[in-house]
Formats: sequence, structure tokens, C-alpha cells
Amino acid sequence: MARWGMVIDLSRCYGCRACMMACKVENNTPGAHFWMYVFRLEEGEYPDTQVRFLPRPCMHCDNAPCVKVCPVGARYKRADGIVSTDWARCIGCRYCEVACPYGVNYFNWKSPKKNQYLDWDSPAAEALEPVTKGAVPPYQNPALGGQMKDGRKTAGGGQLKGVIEKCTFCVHRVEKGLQPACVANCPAFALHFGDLDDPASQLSRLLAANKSFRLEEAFNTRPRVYYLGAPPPSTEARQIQAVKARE
Amino acid sequence: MNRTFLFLATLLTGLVLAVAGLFLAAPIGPTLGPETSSPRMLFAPGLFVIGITMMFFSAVVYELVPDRKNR
Amino acid sequence: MATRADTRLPYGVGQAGARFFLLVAGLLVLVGLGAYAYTRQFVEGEAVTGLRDIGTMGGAPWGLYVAFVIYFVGVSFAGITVAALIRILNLEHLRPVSRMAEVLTVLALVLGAMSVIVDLGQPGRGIVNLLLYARPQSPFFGTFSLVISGYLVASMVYLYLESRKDAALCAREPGRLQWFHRLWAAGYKDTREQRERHLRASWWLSLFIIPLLVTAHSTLGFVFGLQISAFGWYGAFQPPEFLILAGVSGIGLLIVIAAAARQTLHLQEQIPKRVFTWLANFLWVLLVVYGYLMIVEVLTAIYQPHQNEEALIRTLVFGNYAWMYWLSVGLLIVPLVVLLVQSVMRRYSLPIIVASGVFVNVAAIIKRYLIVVPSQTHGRLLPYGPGAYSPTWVEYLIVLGIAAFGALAYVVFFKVFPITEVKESDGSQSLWKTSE
Repeated sequence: MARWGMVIDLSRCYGCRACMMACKVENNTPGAHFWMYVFRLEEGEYPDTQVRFLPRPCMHCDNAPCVKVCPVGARYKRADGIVSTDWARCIGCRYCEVACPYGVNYFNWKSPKKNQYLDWDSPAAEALEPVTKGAVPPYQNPALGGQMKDGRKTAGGGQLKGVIEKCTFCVHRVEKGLQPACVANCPAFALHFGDLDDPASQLSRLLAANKSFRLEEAFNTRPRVYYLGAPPPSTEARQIQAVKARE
Repeated sequence: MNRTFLFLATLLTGLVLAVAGLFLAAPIGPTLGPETSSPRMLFAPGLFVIGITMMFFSAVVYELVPDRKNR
Repeated sequence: MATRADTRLPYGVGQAGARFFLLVAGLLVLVGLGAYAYTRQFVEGEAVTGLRDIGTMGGAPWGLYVAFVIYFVGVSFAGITVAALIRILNLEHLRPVSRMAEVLTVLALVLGAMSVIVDLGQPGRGIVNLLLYARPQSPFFGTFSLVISGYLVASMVYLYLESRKDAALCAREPGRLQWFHRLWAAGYKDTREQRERHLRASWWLSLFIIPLLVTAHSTLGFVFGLQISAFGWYGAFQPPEFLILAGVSGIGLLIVIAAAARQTLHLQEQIPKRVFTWLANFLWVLLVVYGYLMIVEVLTAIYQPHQNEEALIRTLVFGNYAWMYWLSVGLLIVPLVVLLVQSVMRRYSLPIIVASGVFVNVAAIIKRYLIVVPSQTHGRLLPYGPGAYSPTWVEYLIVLGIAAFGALAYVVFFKVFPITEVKESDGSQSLWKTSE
């Protein structure tokens, strides 16, 4: 069984946020949901400021607080380490959301079908379809919505109002041997995904060759996302150009 | 005698259901892993609730069921 | 409904005048508005509330509803505590308020359950899936199974058994409510053997409900106290603080209800002033304990705080939440001082005691809100920046509707069952004697 993890090379990330867009298209996440998010951080005082970028997917922690608190077991950790949300079982209590130290959870406050950037049912969408032959939004990813190999419905977003969703490491792609959408689309090759248990995987080689850190490690969540290529953000880091969408 | 038997039966059945329900709902061992996301038996938490309810309901049985000796 | 001259049911049972119907009508309007607001929320999703996601959205996913879950469950402290004090410590002079305390507990737990349901994104599934899949590893398990099921059932059983004698008394009186009283009495004849059995049963019941009481409030505290995800939540002080503030709000509300009953039903004799003085003294003792817990918590938090914790405290004490924070502190300190002075001078004023009950409940509501919200908007670990939350009309109406539902059930109970133990001297002595 693989032990999936992610390595993010901060020396390569230049904050283009293409990974955010790729994630959004692949997973049909509704408006204002950013399963993958990239912090643009500023440190220091002018004129000695430094800007740096920090991609933040779900950490898929080995000691995930979100898994512990879920009252019905909708949020659970698969054997391969991916922390998944079974949207067929979720009751929408949002306990996982308040329990997560990283703030990666998103709740469907309204029907996701009514919360896309272009409503799938709208006349405008229908008008677009013959022009683009379905290649641009409305693009409903048909790979989502079904059961994954463990029999639970855990792929993709935009399924149901009143349930929680978050980054799935693109479990529907990983099960087919593909890379997550963010990793596959990063123009700087800053994101890496692979099997932490396989010493030959690029992940393991990168980790062996570089000093790495994980976010909020002292809280003992044991995240599966490693950062290398730069020191951890300082406590003075503040966000600039935040995506403050609130829909 | 009838009343005592019914009362004890309700109380003990409730206790058994509650303990069984709790045991079947809570796997012992590491708290993460796909096995811990579902109870060992479906409706185990419901059994726990029913067991606790029965245990308290036994007080009603104790007071309400008439004693055969009475009148 | 029968007029006053026809009925011999005590304490206004079965007698409903214009004032009562007006009150019921007003409460029904509030309940209706709440129901309407809930249908909007059910159809459109919780986007109609002010709740939003933590992190990039800078919102709070837990808000007014969760604050009221804690408040309502907290208020339920009163009933079983009074019952246990009477039974186990033999504090007989609290007996006049024991039934209204038990009714308060039952209704408060129902309201707490309703507040949970309206907060869920998938409420129907919530009820089904909790019964099928609930995990004891989650702090919510205690809330769901022991509080809403165990504690509620236990309190209902206690209320039922404790009131059978008065039900049997009322069942002698023919009228529209006789079937109800007969059902409740279930053959109670007040024989010596029945009384002994009841004493035994209720003693053991009170004893076993006490661990449920402690678990109920501690579990709610654990829901927050075990989370490292936000500053202001994690800590061992949460369960005890939840428990004691529950006591403060529960006893305070009981005082208010007892005073209202005494006033509107002219029960000055049945509920003598010393009941209120006892409750008032209990209230200031609880306030002192709560004050102690708060001082310990605040001193610990400000001595050498983590950077983020310091920012959170600044927001609470000087920032956006300052007015709520200081208002709640004032509304707890003023009653504490006043009740303490009363106790020392041994001069008790009922209006002051009732006002204290009201003040501590307002403070408790504010406090619950301050426990839930600021840590989500201002206590996060990653550098998202501060957030904001304010409830919308939907949330206010739903919460108001739930509270009105509780008040409605309570005033209806006043009219169908004697709210306090029927004394033999209340013109009902004939009720027993006319039986065999």
C-alpha cells in the first residue's frame, strides 16, 4: 500500500496560483472554495521586505484532528493516507472545519450547482456549449460523484448542499495512477506527489537530499505535506493579495 | 415478585444493550485508519441510547407495575 | 375552558383567560416566524446565515446556533440539581420549585437538541446517521447520546414519577384534562407502599442523574477544550467552566420562572420567599466559583501568552468584541456583589434576586457567544488575517422561534398541570376524601 505525500519546493514557487485554478477546474469546487490555496506573504518592514509564496493544500495529517472529531465517521483516513470526506455520510456539523489547524475545509453553504462561476443550468452555459464543444466551463468533471475503490463517495466537490469538502489529493486521479491536478499543472514544477514509502520515488529523494519542514509541526498533527527550499515562514509574516472571496 | 422480575429485566437488558452498544461503536486501538470510521455494527450507537433509556425506564417499571400480592 | 367557579383544579390549571391566549398567540407568532426563517434556510442552504468558512473566507462556521446549543443545555443544569439537592441532601424547603425546575430541564434539553438540528447542513441525515454511525471518539458523541438521549430521558422519567401524586389528585376532578391526569397518575393511590417505592426510586434516580449532569456539561466543554486548532479553546478549564456557568444560568432562570409563577398564579404561600433566598445564596456561591475559574483562566492567558493568543485577548478586551466582553463581566459581577451584600445583611429583596437571575442569563448568552466566535475569526494558526461574523435575521428569528417554542410549551404546562406541589390546604382536601 502506498503512503501518499506531497513535497512543495518553495524555491521554485513564484505564486502564480495556477495550481489553485487547476484544482478548481478538476474538482468543480464552487465559488470562494479554494481547496488548494497559495499564500502570498510579506515579511519585514519596508524597504527591507521580502515576499514569499506558500501553497497550502490539505495536509492529510497522520494524526488528523478532523478525523478524530467527526461524529459520524464521514471524515476518515484511508489506508493509503489520504484523508477523505464521504459526502454521502456527512451531516454538515462543521466540527472538522473548526478542528483543523490549517483552515482547509470548505462547507457548501448553498447548493453548489447554484454556486459555480457559471451556473451549469443557466442559459448562458447552454449557449456556450456548441461554441466550445464542452471544453470550457460549464465543465462538469464526470470522474467525480462515484464511489472510490474503498466504496465511499469521496471525490470532487460541488456534490451536495450542506456538506463539507476539502482537498482530496485528487483521489479520483490518484486511483488511476495520475498525479493530482495541482501537481500536474504547476508550470514551475514546484509541487511533487508520490509514495513516501518508496525510496526510489522523487518525493523520497527530494526529502533525503534537502532540509524540509512541515507546517505547525509542534502540534503533532504529523502532516504529509513537506516544504523545502526555504525556511518556514516567520511569525511576522502577513498575507498580501489575499483571495477574500466570501460567497 | 412479578414486579421485581420485570424491573430487574428492564434494568439489566438496558445495561447489556448500553455496554454492547458502546463496545460495538468504539473500536479499540489506534484512533485513525479507515476501520475506525464506522462502528463494528450499524446502529450500535442507537443501541447504546436505547440501553441507557431502558435503564432509566426501569424506574417507571419499578413504580408502576402493580404487585401481584396487592389486592 | 371551565371558569374559575366551576373547577377545583389548583393553581390555575384548566383556567385560561384572555391574558393566557394573548401570550400564546404572541409566542405562536414568534414560533411561526422562526419556522418560516428555517424553511428559507432549509431550501437555500446556510448561505442565508452570516456563517462562513474559516481561513480564506475569514468567517466563522459556528455562530449563534452553537452558542445557543451550549446555553440551552447549560440552563438544564437547574432541574436535576434542585431535584438531587432535595432528595439526596434532604433540602425539603426547595420542594416548591422542584417541578418547575424539572420541566425547565426537560424543555431546555429539547431546545438544545433543536438548536443542534437547525445548525446541521443535513439535518435529516444527522438524526439517522448519528444513530447508525456515531463515534465515541468524537466529543459530540457525549452530547448526542448522553445529553440529548440519556439526560433528557432521565429527567423526563424523574418528572413523570415525581408528579404522579399530584396527577392522581387532579384526576379526581372531572373535566377536559381528566384523561391526561389519569394517564399521568397511572393508578397512583398514595398508599404507604407506593410512597416508599417512590422515595427509593427517586433517590436512586437522582443519584444516577448526577453523573449524567456532569458528563453533559463537561462533554460540551470538551468539544472546545480538546481543539488545538484555535487559540482560546484548548485547555483543561473548559469543562469545569461550562459546568459552573451552566449552574449560574440554570439557577438564574429558575429564579425568574419561579417568580413569574408566584406572581401570576398568586402562589405566595406555596412558594415562600425563603425559597428565593436559598436560590439566591446558591447563585452567588456559583458566581464566586465561576469568578475564580475565570480569574485563573485570564491570568494564565495574559502572563506569558503565545503571540496569537495575545492578539485574540486584545480583540476580546480592547477590540471588536470588547463591548460584549465587558458587558458580560459586568452582568456577572453586579449580581455577585449585590447578592453577596444581601446575604451578609440578611435583607433579601425579591425584585433584586429576579433581576440578578435575568442579568446572569444575559451574561451567559454573551459568554457562550464569546467562547464560540472570536477564536474562529481571530485565533487561527496560519496567517489568514482577521475575520468577521455577524448573525443575519434568519439566525435571530430561528433562535427566537426556538426560545419561544420553549416558553410556549412551558406556559401550556402551567395550564395543564399544577406547577408546584399541591398542598392539602388548597381547597383540594376534598379531592382525596371523596375517594374511597
